[in-house]
Amino acid sequence: MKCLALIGLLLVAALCGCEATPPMTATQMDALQVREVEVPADRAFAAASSALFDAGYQIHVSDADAGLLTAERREDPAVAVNATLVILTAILSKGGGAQDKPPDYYTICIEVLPRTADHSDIRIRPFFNGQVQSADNAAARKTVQEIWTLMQRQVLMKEPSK
Amino acid sequence: MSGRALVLIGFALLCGAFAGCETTPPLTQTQWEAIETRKVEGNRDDVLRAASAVILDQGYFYTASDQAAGTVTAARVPSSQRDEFQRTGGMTGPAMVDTISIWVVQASTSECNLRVQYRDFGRHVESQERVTKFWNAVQRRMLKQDPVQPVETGGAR
Repeated sequence: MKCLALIGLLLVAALCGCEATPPMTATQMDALQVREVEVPADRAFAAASSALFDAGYQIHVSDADAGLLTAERREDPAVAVNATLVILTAILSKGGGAQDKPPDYYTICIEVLPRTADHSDIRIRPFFNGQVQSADNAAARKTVQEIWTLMQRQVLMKEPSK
Repeated sequence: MSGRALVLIGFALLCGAFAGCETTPPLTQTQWEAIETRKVEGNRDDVLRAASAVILDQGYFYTASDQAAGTVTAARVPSSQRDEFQRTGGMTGPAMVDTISIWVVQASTSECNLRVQYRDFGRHVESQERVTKFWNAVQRRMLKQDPVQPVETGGAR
C-alpha cells in the first residue's frame, strides 16, 4: 500500500515537471536572432555571404535587393561509424535490413534589413535537416554565433578605421 | 420477384448513389485569387520585408526570391519527409516538402496586394484561415508589435 502511495506521489511529481515551455513570440525570437551592425545593408549582405562561404556553406538563394540568403552545408557521417552501424543493424536484424546513417544538412537563412543609411539588422535563422531549430536551442545558438563571428570579422577587415 | 429483377433494382440504386457523389467543382483562378489575396497598408518594399520575416517565423527556409518581381518562395520539411530529405540531396533533392509562395504588388500609393499561396506535399491548399493568419502576422511585423499568438513552430533536434 505504501509502495503504491509512493509511486502515485512520484507520478504526480513527474507530471508536475512536464511543464511545457510556451512557444516564443516573434519579438523574443528577434531578440535571440537579430543583431545590429554599423554598416549599410549592402555591406552587411556582402559580409553575410562571405561568412557563409567561410563556414563551408553552399549558397542556394541570394537576393541582394531583398537582403535574403539561403545556404546549405552537408555533413556526412564518418565512414567507420557508418560501417559499424551497417554491420550492427545487419547482425541485430539477422540480415533483414541493414541501415546506414544518412548525411545531415545544415541550412541557414539570413535576412538583412536596412535600419538607417549606415545601420542594418541581420537575422540568422538555422535549420537542421530541413526543420527549423528553435532560437533557444543550444546547437542553433552556436551556429548563429559562428556565422556572426565570421561576419564581424568581414566587417572589421573591410573597415579598419571604425 | 425474380432474381434478375432484384439485380436490376440493385444496379439502378447503385447508379443513383453514384450520381449523388457529385464532387465540388475546382476553384476558378478568380476564386483562388480572392482567397489568397489581402490588402496591406505600406509600400511594396516594406511589405515584402515584413512578409519575408513572417516566412522565417513560420519555420520555412527561402528557396527562391526576386525583389524586383516581389516574389518569395520558401519550403518546410514535414517530419515524415525528414529521412527522405536527408537521403535525397537536401534542398536540391526531390523530397516532397510544404511550400509557401508570396507575391507583393503595389496596388495604390499607400496599399499593396499580398498574395499568399500554400502547398502541402505539392497540393494547393485552400485555407482562408492560414492566409489570414499570415496576413495578421505581416501586419504585426509592419507595426513592429508583439504578436498576441505565439508563432514559433517548435524546433528540431
